[in-house]
Amino acid sequence: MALLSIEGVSKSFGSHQALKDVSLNVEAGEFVSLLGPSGCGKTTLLRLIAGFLTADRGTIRIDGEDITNVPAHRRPLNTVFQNYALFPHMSVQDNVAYGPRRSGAGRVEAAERASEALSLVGLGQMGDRYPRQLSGGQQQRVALARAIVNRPKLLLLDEPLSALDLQLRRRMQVELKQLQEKLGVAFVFVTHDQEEAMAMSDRISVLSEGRIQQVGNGAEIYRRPANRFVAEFIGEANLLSIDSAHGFEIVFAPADQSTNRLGVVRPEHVRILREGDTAALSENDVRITAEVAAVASIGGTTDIHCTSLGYEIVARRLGLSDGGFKPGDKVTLVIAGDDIHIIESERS
Amino acid sequence: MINSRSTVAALVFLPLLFFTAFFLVPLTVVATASFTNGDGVPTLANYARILLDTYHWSVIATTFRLGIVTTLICILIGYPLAWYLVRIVKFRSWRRLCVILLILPLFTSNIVRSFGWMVLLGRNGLVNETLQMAGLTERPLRLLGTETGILIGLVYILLPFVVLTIGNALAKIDHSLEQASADLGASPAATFWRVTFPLTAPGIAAGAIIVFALAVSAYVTPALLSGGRVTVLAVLVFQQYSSVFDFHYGGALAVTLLVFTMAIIGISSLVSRLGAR
Repeated sequence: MALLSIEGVSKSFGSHQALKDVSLNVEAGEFVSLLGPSGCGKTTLLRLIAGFLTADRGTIRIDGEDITNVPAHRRPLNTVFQNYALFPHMSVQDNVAYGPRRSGAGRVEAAERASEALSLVGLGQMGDRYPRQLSGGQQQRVALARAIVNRPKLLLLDEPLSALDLQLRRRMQVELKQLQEKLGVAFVFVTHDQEEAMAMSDRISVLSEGRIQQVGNGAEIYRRPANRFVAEFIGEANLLSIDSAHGFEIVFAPADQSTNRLGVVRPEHVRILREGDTAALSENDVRITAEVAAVASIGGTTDIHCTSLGYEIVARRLGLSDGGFKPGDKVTLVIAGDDIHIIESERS
Repeated sequence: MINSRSTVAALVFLPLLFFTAFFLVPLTVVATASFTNGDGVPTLANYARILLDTYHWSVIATTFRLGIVTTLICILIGYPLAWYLVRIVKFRSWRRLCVILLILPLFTSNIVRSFGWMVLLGRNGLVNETLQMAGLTERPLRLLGTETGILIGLVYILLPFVVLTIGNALAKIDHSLEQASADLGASPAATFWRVTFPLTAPGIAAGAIIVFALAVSAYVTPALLSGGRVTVLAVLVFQQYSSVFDFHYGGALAVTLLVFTMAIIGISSLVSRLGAR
């Protein structure tokens, strides 16, 4: 039985439908990210699970128990808020002890548990401070300590790292993941940052326009996106309409003739050869003649933008070398047949 | 440098000048008068006259009793009112109308509003008629000329100040703090007393200080609603300045009022600060 089970949940704000028939299961100890652009409904879904909003339709269960209409303060889960929501009039220690106190622990026991949770996030010495005296990263840790002090089975995190700078964010990603594994808590983690989701999650649920587009681990949604939205949102992709496909004999249709099948090719899977260079080709390879339009080096990789059939196709090479390709060069783009992921019945 | 320094000097000097001219100078004049007699000789006789007399102590007691009770009632009525305006009203236009209704009386004269209450609180006024019609009392209550009558008038006049300060404090509370409290298992009542209420405490304190200071120094409302039967310090001060022309005794009364007011505000803020620990 899943720890958290969401079935057919819908939520509207006035005439705007924020969530449409969303279903999702989260197993005990699992790290699931809700990933999507802003306005996709991921935060709404989190608030429904936390109990700050009530679903119009559908059921939410925890450990098999229906909590759809249970108020937030009786739900067996905790939340890390985007802005941390630390109580400004309480010391760090009192902030963290707040949860145990409300669930009936005595003053001494609550203080002990708070100290324990604070040392778990590396803030053992900060108990007497007030939230405003801490840095953003420290406040983030206090919020985390406060949320785990009651040892919930399920922790909801609403873009907890979005306010931190890049370096700190990277470090917190690792620490958060370690903490999650150490405590065995299931995380539902809202983020709009796909790298963050990829780096941390067991499974990612991609949302757009109030619907779950695809659920899977990072490799699955990257290699086999379920639809055009996921293909474009996760990583970069060359999207080419497919005219016919028999096994690996794939023929692309020109850009102005969209078909109901779409081929997704990641830039790193496009090999680029000089025209007439037929070395190292296998029979599974699909070949496209193209012309180089632009060459751009970005850090560790070099992108070669080519035009063919009215598409702009990007081929990515590792390293700074552009391989001598210049705009205007006639080239052959080679894609291994099994690197072309086909999305059926997708209108472009 | 010279330019910016002179700008700073001007910026400091102008408010200082204003403060000196309109606050310090009059205060000094009053205070000096209170410590001298009619011949300009320094004396403590004016204060001795006040502090060694039981009548004056009873006036002081009445004044501050009215001030404290007015402040408490204003907070008790004002908090729910502010809650209604900030948390319950959903339509912005209705909220705006409520705030206008709340503030509008402040634009009319105190005298007019106090006269209004004289009419309402009289033996055959609306209040007594309503109470009798509802069968709550048999004979008309004597409200005019009692502390209760003054209290009603003061609460009515000063209520907007607490509603505005508490409403402002309530509106500033980040909603996620209350959600975090609920998330950590606090019942709605626990969330109110442990999160919402402490965070509105500065608003309550600000409103309370305004109301208390205005209530103990109020002249018009007590003068009109007391019918001469209840005397407060401000009425005594007014009599000395306007009818008796004894600026020395009147000045001492004014300084007494100021010192007692500041002492009570000081003590209460000290108590609340110790209580918050």
